[in-house]
Amino acid sequence: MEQTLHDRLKGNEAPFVSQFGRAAGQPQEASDSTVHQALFLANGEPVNSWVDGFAGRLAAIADNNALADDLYLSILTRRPSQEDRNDLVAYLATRPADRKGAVKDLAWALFTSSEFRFSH
Amino acid sequence: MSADPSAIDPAKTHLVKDLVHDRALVSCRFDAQGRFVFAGSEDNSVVCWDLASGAKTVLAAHDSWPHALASTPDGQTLLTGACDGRLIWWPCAAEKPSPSRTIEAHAGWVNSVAVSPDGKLIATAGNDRLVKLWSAEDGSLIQELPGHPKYVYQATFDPSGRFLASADIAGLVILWDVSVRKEARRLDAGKLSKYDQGQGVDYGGARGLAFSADGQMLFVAGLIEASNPLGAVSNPALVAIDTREGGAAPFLHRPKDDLKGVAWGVKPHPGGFLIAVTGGTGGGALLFWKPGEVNEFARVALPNTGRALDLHPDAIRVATAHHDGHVRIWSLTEKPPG
Amino acid sequence: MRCDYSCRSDEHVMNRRGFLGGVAGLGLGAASGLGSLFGRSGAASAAMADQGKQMLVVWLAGGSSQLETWDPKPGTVTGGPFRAIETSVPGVKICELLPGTAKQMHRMALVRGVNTKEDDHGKGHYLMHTGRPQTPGAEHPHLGSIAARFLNPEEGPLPGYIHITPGGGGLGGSEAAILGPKYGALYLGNGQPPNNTGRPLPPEADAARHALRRRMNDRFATRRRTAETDAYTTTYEQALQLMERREVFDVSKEPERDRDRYGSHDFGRHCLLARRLLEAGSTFVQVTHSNYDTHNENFAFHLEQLGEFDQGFSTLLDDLAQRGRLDNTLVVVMSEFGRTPSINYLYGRDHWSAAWSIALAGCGIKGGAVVGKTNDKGTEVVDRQVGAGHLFHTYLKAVGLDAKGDFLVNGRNIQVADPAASPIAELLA
Repeated sequence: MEQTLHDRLKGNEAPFVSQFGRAAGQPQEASDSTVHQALFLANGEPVNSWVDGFAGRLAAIADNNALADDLYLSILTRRPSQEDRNDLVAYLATRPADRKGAVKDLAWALFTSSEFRFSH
Repeated sequence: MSADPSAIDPAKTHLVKDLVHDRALVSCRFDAQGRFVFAGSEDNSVVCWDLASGAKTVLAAHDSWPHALASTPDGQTLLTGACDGRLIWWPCAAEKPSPSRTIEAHAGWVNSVAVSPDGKLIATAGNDRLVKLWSAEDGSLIQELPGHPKYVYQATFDPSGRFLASADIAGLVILWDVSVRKEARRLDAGKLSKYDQGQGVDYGGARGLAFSADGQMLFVAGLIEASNPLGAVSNPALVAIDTREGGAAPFLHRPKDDLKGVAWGVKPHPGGFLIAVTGGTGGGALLFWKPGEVNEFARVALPNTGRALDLHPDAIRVATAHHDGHVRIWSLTEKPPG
Repeated sequence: MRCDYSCRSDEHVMNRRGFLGGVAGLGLGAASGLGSLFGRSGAASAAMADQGKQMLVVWLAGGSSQLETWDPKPGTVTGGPFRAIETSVPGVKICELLPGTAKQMHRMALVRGVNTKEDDHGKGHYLMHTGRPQTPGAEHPHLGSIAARFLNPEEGPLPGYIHITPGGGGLGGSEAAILGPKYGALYLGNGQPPNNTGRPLPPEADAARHALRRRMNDRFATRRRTAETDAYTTTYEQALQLMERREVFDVSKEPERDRDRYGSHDFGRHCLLARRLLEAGSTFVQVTHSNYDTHNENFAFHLEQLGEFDQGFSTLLDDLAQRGRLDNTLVVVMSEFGRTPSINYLYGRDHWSAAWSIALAGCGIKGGAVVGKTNDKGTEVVDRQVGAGHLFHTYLKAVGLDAKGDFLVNGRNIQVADPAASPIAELLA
């Protein structure tokens, strides 16, 4: 699962990597953390539509514990801690009429978290 | 010298005169009677050599590089235009030539000057995007001809004097009706030009312009395949344009190999072929093309990068001007033995 | 909480705020003499930052020719076909390709004795951006990153280092070197706003999920917090700030008559965007104009490029002055090097760093000053030779950053400018 996510991420980031001015001969500087990347991950269409599809499947899981397990294992490849579970349940409770929307937000937050970025 | 057409053999072209100046040259022109060859230099002067005696005179008055040279049909007067924006009249044969008239012709470089076949009109082309018509007799401005959106590089009259052709850096060619002083037609030599997005520059355009003897065809010299304008990566090329209404599409002539450089100057030869000089990282060469053939049928290497070309009225001799300060006179014939 | 780099943590910010207290609000600084009271501490730098000093760098990429700009030698064997024109400063002439800029010369200073001994594009670029030679292993921060870190207020509305480029937008971060990627450049490719600045959700919904994200990151930080994780989370906060201010990047919001004045070409638009960003409070804006690496047909290409430069730059400089901004905005026009006095067989000039020029304006730079001189052919500096280090010190001094002072990064003092060099005093009022 993780590999697929990373592959998708790489493919979609290609538009960002562009050569700067042919003749100046400046070194191409790359950085792991940039505002451009954050904007892409937060607002870019590819990420948001992926999250939408992913959440659609997960929102169907009625049991919150099972949902938390699936969510954290899929994205962070670990089981959620008790605190994680509590937070998840609390967040779902803020949007009782829109479980899918809430799950989307949870998935998105995990996907854009520093743990996802740096634990692999 | 009478020309025996059967003696013309471009492949056998050989050097007949080597005229030396101490600074790089940017242009060259025979006078219309073929007595002299003139060359503009990076030292701002125009150098004159008497072809018969070899005597060298220096015409010094411009404040910048004289790219534009043309004589009146009677060979008596030389017109010079330079990067100082001025147009100067000179007596061709004077012992100590000095300007007989100087005018501020353009706001920016004068790139080209042409004299009408009847000797009455002078046309200039400038970096101010204007073509201008002047009275040869008194130097007054007859007409400004706006229309080119970019720097105008060349101007030349057709042999009948009915039309003036001008061409710019973008490869736009405008045919002007001289009698009414208005645009007659627009023609396209855009193959010789490009805008390089990465480097942010226009490159190419008309580096030479000439009509065929019957006025039907217009030949434009320049470059193609400019993959790196600032780094001089391009191939020399010519475009042959049918000027008649509904004429054939422009025809591209190019070297048979990857010769690198620019075609500076093109002259049609009465023997039915085109001559161009090239300069650039591929070195200097004379290339000869037949109408309708993409690649040249003859090529003669030059000892130094070529910057300008003219065909002598006798149609036997060719002059080339070079960065090393030489004007070289070539004969398009086989070198006699001995 | 382990924080072994310059994290500008709440702690540090609080101390600085507490120290300045009401002083910042009074808008006091060096002019009133208080700056000298503070001596050379980092707090003094912070005080200067609250003055709102800004920087504009116009980068002529590829190496523009000093002979076709600031130090013409008409009528000589090296001079080329262009002539020199008078400027608004009697006795000072520049190339005829800069008529608009010539009228602004009384606001500008020329440094004509630059010798940087570096003819390579990449190394020259590094040298002029950091004030230090590029050596393996060493990494020094760009001028823009220094401005972003030490000049831009912590809660500044915009990224501290914005770079408007003619080509594609690039990834920023490493320009900041030891200062941390937060102070890297935000590249605006062809002056376009950053991609993806529109929210995909209504603001409250978007805010809710960002709050969720922050919670998760805070929890993770208790287990593992490094420069990298902080930089990563900070980029989201920067992203949110950018989203809020996306209109600032939209140059079409400027009046049409201004767009005509600046020129209907990319560089003109980029200069107008620079004005917009500076007026919105950007600390450091760089505009790159491409390309000047004219090994071939140097004169035709400089004619075209400088035509654009002259219109955009002179308009921008004049606008900054007319709007009262020039006193607090340092303007620098430079390249990675100059071009050879000798003209090659392609009508070109090649790389040349032994005797070239840069131009400055604003922020205490002496208008009309010319420092340094080359010989009559431009082949050698004959008076007041300076290098990249001197220039760098001068920029910092002009905006009130004493380069010899303390700049605390990672708990240690770093030298933001080459200690072997010093400011060019003749340039500073």
